[in-house]
Amino acid sequence: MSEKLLVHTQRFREQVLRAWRAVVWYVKGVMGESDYDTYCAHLRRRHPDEPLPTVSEYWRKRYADEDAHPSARCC
Amino acid sequence: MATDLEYVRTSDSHPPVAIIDRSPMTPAKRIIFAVIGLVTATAWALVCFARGEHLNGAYFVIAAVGTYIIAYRFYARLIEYKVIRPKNDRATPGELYDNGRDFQPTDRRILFGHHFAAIAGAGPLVGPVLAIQMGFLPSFIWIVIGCVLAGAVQDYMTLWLSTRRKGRSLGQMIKDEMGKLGGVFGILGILFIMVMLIAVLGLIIVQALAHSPWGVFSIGCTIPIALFMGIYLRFLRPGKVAEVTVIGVALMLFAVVAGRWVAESAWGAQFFTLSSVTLAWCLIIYGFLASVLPVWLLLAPRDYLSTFMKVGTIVLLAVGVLIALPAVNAPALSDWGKGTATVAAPIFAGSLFPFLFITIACGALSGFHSLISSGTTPKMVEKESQIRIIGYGGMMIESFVAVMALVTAMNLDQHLYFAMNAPATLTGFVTDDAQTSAANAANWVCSLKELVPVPDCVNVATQTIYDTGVGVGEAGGVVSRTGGAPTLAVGMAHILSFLGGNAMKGFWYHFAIMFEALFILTTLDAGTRVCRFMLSDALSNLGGVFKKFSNPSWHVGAWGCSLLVVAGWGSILLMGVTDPLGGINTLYPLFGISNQLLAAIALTLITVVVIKKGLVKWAWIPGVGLIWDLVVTMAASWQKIFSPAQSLGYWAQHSCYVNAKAGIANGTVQAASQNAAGDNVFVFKSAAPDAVCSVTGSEAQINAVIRNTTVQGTLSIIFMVLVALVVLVGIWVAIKAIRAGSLPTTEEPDQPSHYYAPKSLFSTKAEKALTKEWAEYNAEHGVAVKTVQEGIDAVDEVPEGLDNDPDTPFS
Repeated sequence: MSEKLLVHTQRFREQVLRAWRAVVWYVKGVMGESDYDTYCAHLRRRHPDEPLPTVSEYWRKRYADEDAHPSARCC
Repeated sequence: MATDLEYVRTSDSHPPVAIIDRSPMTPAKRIIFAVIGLVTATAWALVCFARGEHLNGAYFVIAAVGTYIIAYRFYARLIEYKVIRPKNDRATPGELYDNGRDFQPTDRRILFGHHFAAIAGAGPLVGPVLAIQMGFLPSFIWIVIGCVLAGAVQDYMTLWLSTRRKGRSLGQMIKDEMGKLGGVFGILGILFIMVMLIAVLGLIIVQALAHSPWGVFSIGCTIPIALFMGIYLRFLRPGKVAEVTVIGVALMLFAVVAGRWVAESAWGAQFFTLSSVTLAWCLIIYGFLASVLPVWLLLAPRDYLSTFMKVGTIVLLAVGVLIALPAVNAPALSDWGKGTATVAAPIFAGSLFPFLFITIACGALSGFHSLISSGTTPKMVEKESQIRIIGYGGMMIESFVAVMALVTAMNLDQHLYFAMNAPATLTGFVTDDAQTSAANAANWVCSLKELVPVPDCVNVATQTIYDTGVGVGEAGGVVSRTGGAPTLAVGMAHILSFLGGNAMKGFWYHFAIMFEALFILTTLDAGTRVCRFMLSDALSNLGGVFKKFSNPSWHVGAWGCSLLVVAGWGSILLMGVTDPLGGINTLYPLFGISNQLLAAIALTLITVVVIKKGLVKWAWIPGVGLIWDLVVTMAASWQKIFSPAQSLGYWAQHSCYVNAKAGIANGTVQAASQNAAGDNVFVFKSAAPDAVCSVTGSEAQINAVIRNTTVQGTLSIIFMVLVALVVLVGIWVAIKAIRAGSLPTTEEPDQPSHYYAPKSLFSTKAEKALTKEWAEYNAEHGVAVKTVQEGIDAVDEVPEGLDNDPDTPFS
């Protein structure tokens, strides 16, 4: 009986953890936090010879790009 | 079942890139849709015919959501099937030009959030609030039906056009598809319209914050908070966007709480009580700085806050509506809606048609969205079949936000609603005297025969209006807080009072004001920047000495263009806040008209392309929205320009005031009294029998109205003429295309896709299996992927001409 309970708690914990991870994945995705990893993956795949930028370098470049190419926000 | 699935391959060396699912609807699904249809129809029937206590906000939510589901499943499906014809074996710009930055295939669910955050803002929250003047029923019908048949169609199809054209901007696509002339008119139209939109959005914030120290403090705090976030991200913890946003939101909530202490302290009240003119100047200076400061310092962090709050508050509002089940206190169709009213409509002039449709704007159809749908989003789409959920689906959520704003506002007491939204000239608002203002406003609203009479009206209304101001922590009261945002905030405070009761009302009110201001400031920053780039681009196209403007690092040019753009919207904003007739009331129609005219430009482009592709038979799909929108906007513009009614036509108003001025000059009009400032007040009425003119005001006010109506009338003409020209060019191209059967479009040639992604927000069984197959394949062939994609590598770098596209403002 207690073993069954243990399995259930275990499963429940896994589900909660999974849901939490999904939320974190989504928030980071929409807010743009995962863009650095995406960019590094892109470089590794397409330009394996190029050095990976540091997080700081990536964001500096990214904001510089946004400076030069603004995008509209709606009403 | 399995036989209905067709797997599309573009290469033998990797798994299929698409699944074509031809399986018919299962009986279970048919039953589900039939049930949804029945429930929706019932909810609609109740909304249309049930009155009084039998009706509450939940029915509106059910009717709207049910309609969205049915429309998405059947109408959007028809559009997809007959016109869009998504090719999932065709590489999207994101896959083709993948540079890990702007061109980047992005998970559809994330892109959906992204796209929604970019299209949603204060517009759908404000428009429905003002529209209730006409009654809730026509407003509700237009929000839902307008979205389904026009707004969502525009967003969906613009996204489709741009996805097939390397993610090009609306202006560029007009130029490509409708020729250089059409392009020039299009760009000019977009520029003017954006300046107008920014000005009116700015006016909405100013109206909400004037004489409100609590509001000014909490919104003011968002600037240092954004700066802090920017510095934190740059120097302390680069890339920790979610973390810093959570910190920022916490700080902002604290700023809202702290606002009460500041407003209640003597120094705070003194320092943060600002007049609308001061606030307008603050906004203008802020707008200029924000557009020239580096993005990382102010704009990007504010955008993070704004994105976070958008999703958060919308969920909060939806939960609030479903828990509170707000009662309906607005009439289904008011006397102004019926056209039987004895006095001119106080909130916006004109009859239900066309002005209701102009006023609701963003929640049903928003031209501004076409700028987003042809900019960032198409470069991030993974598969063409996903643009249905992103484009059409994203707009449905926006429309849903508008429905909730409507439900929130129609819950308000009608006397309070009109006291808040009518201009000071009608309500008798007195600065810094909430008690007198409430009494004056109550006297006025109780004199309206159009409202349902209540016993002891003046006393009851005075109390309600005054108490509302005290309840939400506005010492100056809520009378003539026009612009819609304060009304929505009062409604929200009411609905959310189940969280914290009356004690929290002030917090919720200022929380609502804060997020609306946040959305608007984000639009204002980004809009000014975008306009600046469009302007420098347009200037550089003139050639000669102006060529220099194409260099974005030439600071003189950039700052000069920023200054010009800010001067453009800033002067309209100042004109609005000083308008003796009430800025929102005179300018909001121009805001609505310009947004709807932008939609007309986008829908013209879509219709032209559909015809050029030889799909004349299906041109009615964008055509329905286009024709309706054109009829509405042209009728509204026409009335605003040519109507002889003083309250409606800008030029009619203009000539009244010109006559009054002439009368003062030649001595036929004498000063009738003196105002508080000691200026002579003149009263002028045009001679019988027509007696259409009535002017009351000081000489300065009369001059202001003459100047303002000149600007407003001229802008109306410019908007109307520019759009008419775009449409005429469109018709001309369409006729050529119909004669030829079809014409080549600038759609990019197909490139095979080597990528797979599911279609809808939730994957089907087969999609899950294929996603897994691809994951395994990619894990195994980490290097082999590259060989497969070698063909793409040839165009890996964004080709020349794309980076230099004149449409970079929206790239």
